[in-house]
Amino acid sequence: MKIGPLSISPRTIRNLRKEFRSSGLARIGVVLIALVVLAAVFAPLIAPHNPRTQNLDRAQLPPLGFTDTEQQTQTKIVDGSVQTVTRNVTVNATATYPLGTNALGQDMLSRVIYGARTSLLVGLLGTVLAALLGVTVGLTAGYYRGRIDDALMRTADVSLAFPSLVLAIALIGLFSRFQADVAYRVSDPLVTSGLAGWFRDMVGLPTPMPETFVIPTVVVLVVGFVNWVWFARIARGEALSIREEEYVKAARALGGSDVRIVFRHVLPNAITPILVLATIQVAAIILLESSLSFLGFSGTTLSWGFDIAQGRGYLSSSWWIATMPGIAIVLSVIGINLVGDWLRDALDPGIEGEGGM
Amino acid sequence: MSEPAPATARAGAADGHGAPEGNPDDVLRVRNLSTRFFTEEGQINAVESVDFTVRDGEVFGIVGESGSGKSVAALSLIDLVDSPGRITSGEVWYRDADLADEFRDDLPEAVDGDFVDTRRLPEGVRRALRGPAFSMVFQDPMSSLNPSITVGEQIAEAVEVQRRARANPRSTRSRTQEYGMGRLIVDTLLPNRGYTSESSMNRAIELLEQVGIPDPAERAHEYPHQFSGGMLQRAMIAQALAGEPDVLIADEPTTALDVTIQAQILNLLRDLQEEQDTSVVMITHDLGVIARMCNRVGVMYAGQVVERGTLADVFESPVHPYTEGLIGSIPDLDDPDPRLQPIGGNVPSLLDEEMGGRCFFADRCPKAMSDCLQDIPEYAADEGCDDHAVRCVLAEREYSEADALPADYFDRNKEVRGDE
Amino acid sequence: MSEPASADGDDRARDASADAATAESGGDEPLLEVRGLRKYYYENDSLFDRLLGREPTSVKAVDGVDLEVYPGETLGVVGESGCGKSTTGETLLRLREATDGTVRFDGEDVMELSDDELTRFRKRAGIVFQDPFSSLDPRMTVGDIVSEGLKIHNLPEESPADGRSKREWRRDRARELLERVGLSADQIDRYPHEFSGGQRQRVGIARALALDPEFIVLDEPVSALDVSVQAQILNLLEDLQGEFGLTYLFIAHDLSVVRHICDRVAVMYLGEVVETGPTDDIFESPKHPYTEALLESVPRASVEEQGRRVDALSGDVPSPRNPPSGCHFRTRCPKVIQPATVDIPQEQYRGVMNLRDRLERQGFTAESVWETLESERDTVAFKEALREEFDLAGLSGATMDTVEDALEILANGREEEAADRLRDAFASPCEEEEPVLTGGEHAAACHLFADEEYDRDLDPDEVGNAMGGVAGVEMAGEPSPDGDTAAAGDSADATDSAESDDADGGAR
Repeated sequence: MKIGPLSISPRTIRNLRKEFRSSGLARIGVVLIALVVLAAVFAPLIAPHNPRTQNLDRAQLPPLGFTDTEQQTQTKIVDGSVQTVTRNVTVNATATYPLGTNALGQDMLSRVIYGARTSLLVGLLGTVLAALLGVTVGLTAGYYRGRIDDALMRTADVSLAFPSLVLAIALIGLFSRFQADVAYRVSDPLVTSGLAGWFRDMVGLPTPMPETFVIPTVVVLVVGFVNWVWFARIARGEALSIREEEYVKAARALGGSDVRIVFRHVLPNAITPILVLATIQVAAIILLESSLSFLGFSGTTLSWGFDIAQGRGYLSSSWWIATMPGIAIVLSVIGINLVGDWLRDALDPGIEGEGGM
Repeated sequence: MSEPAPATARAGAADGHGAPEGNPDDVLRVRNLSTRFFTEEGQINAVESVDFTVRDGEVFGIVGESGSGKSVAALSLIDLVDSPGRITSGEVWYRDADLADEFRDDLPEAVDGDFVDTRRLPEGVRRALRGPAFSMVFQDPMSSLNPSITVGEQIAEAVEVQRRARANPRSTRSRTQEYGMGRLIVDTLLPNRGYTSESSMNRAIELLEQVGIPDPAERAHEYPHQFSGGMLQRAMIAQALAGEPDVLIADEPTTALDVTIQAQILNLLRDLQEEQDTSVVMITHDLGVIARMCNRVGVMYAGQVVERGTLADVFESPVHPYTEGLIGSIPDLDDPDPRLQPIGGNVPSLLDEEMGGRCFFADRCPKAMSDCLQDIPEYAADEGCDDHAVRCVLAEREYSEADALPADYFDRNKEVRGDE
Repeated sequence: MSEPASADGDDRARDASADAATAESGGDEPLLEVRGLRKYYYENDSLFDRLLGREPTSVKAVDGVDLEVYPGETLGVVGESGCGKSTTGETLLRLREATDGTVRFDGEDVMELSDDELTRFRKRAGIVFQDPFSSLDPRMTVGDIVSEGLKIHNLPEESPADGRSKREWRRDRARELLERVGLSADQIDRYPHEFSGGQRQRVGIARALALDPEFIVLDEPVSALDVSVQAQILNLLEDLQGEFGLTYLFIAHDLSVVRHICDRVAVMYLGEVVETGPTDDIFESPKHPYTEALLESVPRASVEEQGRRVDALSGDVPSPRNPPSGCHFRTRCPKVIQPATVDIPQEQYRGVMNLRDRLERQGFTAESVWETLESERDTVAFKEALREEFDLAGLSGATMDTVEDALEILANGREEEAADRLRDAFASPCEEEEPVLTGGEHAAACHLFADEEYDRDLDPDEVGNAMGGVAGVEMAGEPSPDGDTAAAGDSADATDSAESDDADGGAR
């Protein structure tokens, strides 16, 4: 099987399968990721409500299986004088809002589902950006060594010296100067094509769904620029060792150009650790995105981090507002890391070696 | 594990328990030893019913190509085969009168005269034999020494272990178990304490001098990376000598070295062997090294000893076509031979399922006959002399064109078995 | 094979070069001519080291190598690990940039080639590597590996006439090559890990053959293989050479393989060629003590070898970071030339030199010797211990006095002075001056043969032909008092320089 410079040998596929069968954790990881991906892709079809619709009457409903006691304060005129009466009201959960609602009465489940979109988009796009940047830099540094290597990798070291969140916020400040829109709004093809409406009518869900969704471009750029260093380091290390392999020398002896050697020989043989790193980076970037939106730098309100920030004020009264997106983050990060472990074990070059005696 | 019973005339082999007859000079008698690896790809028969004996003060050579099982055979001798490998059958009779007395009553089946079958001894006793009875020199000295401990200290450690063993020879079981949890904790808390006493360090320096390391007192305090390859191999030998072993097993001791350094090490091994009257099992792929060092030789192929005998038997009147092929493959330094006579094909995989009940060499053999398609027992090569033994039908009969297998016999069979 | 050759439109005088295989190396123009090739690596050379003002140290992997390879022949380059033989092979193909020197391939200076010219050169000169596992890209099929060169050079230049696409043509050519090196064409889509070591090496050879080269560097092509497979590959290489009129540079450490396959041999030690000549001459009458020792050391696979006592070279190969002065081999040489004032058995001289080496070693103190002694500050015991360690007991006369002196000085804790004392009295001519290759077909770089050179240089016919011709002239320019015998001429020469050295020492 061939995908660009990436060719997957039947043996790799065998290894993947074998590891998958033998590892229960890998299966859990794949299921978790599948859930997140499905939620993200089909959000307009499966979200029970429009995540932006506010309904103050139904604010702070608890999730299914829980009840909440709410103090209602009423001001009445009793016997001619104004009195404040406080009484405890039990609020019951309803199946319409299985994960409860937030302070604005928005459905938490729908928000969690839509939040998966933002997280996954930022995670994937950010990783792709970081990988492109980092792998290019790393392969160049490792293949040419010497001064080029020194210059590139010292830059990488400097950016590693900053705490990633601090660096990210600084970069947001920088990018926002050049780009007025922190986010880019695109229309949701599932909704605009009418597919979502048709499907929801059929199943009997409330119809008007948001016609656009937001790609937080600045955040994508920022996480890419924060995390490229990891790719650069891995790619450089691989390039350093692969350039010494005799097949690279052989390609040079045949007259192959540097570009050809890097793309035909170095990159394909370095791809395994890069892939493993990429999966783990998706998780790291999702966490970073959540942190940024928690701090209010997101550009979209449909984000797990943003919801946690919103729920922070209600932790004592309505714990689920912050907890539900929190659980979503934890599960997707765990899922990605489990899949990362699986890939690492299955693609471990140690297994690819010859079983000598 | 149902071993196919050897049919006829196994030279000097023991059937059943005890009493492997043989030369009284024998110090080690290996009988029917098999070691298998149980891997995900299947069972690998690395060593397949191997027989040989090692005599007092001689150098016994085991020669074979990569994958012939010679190194595993060496590890099996001293019971160092690691999982997924396991010694599945066989006996390793070692001559030690004291040990024989000790176990004569408890384990009668493990004792025969002065010999004990180390395979039947308890684990602890077997472990205690490593050092004073058997010790080993490995191919790659760089990875065989700990890079973070000085060379002297590592040798002194070996001396220490042997010294404790000698101080209390009867309780073999506790010999190496003295280093307990308490010691470990003390050593961890007081890192300056060192593992070794001054006297064992002095002994280590003596050993280093014995193996020809210049300025041993200075060099004992250096780390392995400060040694050259040849010097490290000398240090390894010094470590192996710490227990004054009866049998020194040298697994490709000079393969990683240059010829001039190899000559030094071979000289050293010969001197030590003569001085101390140690028996040496020399494992190598280099027929030249075998020729220089060994009195008797076993040729291994696909896990079996296919031919064994004195150096002259094997080099001058080889019977097995593999032995012949091996000798014909080597360019002669003193004569620019016009053409080499290589053996065709490649070394077999040793995967159990791919090894039929036949001579394992038949698919590469220029003289393969229909008789070769059965299990081949060991035959005595010459009348009246059981020292030269061969696993080949040619020891019993002449090659005849009429019985020859068709040239593509094994290719066809491969397809039938659905190899791809 | 002929068919694709026509498509590639590259017709060369195959026949001529094939004929040359049998021709003596004398008359022809060399296909490859290496002069003064040097390759130094620098350590402590990073930005950081520069900031700290550290001096970069050089590792002289190749230090002035001269070679010629004539069309159709096999030149063996033989030596122990670290002697620079592989680096030479890679540097002359410009797989590594040379520090200095010229390499002429068919008249063109390889070091000066432009990118386009270099690409053309790559088509004509190939390489086969040692390690059959790391030399094939594990992610490519053997078909892709073999045809990679064709793809790089965009071959065939025009679409084949028979309507095949270029891609198909390349694939067919790969099949053909696989068949030629003894593999099955059906295996074209397999990956390297499905092959054994010998089969992989065949793939590596097919890759080198794909571009129809004239010249191939074989960098230890059989060292990693089992003997039975090694013989297959050697036979294959011989057949291919005959069939395609190839010229080989065969790098190896195994002398019997070299004897078998090479027409001429160059023996390398610590980055230099110490002896070169026709294979039979080198193996039957080696000149350089190092070559002699190498040949002596090789274990022969025959019964006569049993128990043969080898006079092994002592010591290790010195580090190329800091090679010995003068002749690089002098620290291990069993035939070191003694200064004119000294005439003692070689073993004793070696003992004195070893003692001196030890005193000169960095960080040596007399204290470390005292520590090994049991008695307190007993100078007699001190001297005895060192005499014993370095086998100096047999010395007598003036030599003994000097050594005793030096030991006395050492016992008093003046290490440097003791070393100086020994150096003054025992400095060998071999350490004063670097020997150069003598002229002629069978040449050695050794002071023992230096005067041969002198005589030969007077003969104008020989000069042009000589291996180290240029260097030889320099040598001739040295004041060499009427060299009747090698030893006499050399010692006189050396004493001169030794004395001038003394003067320097005194000035300091």
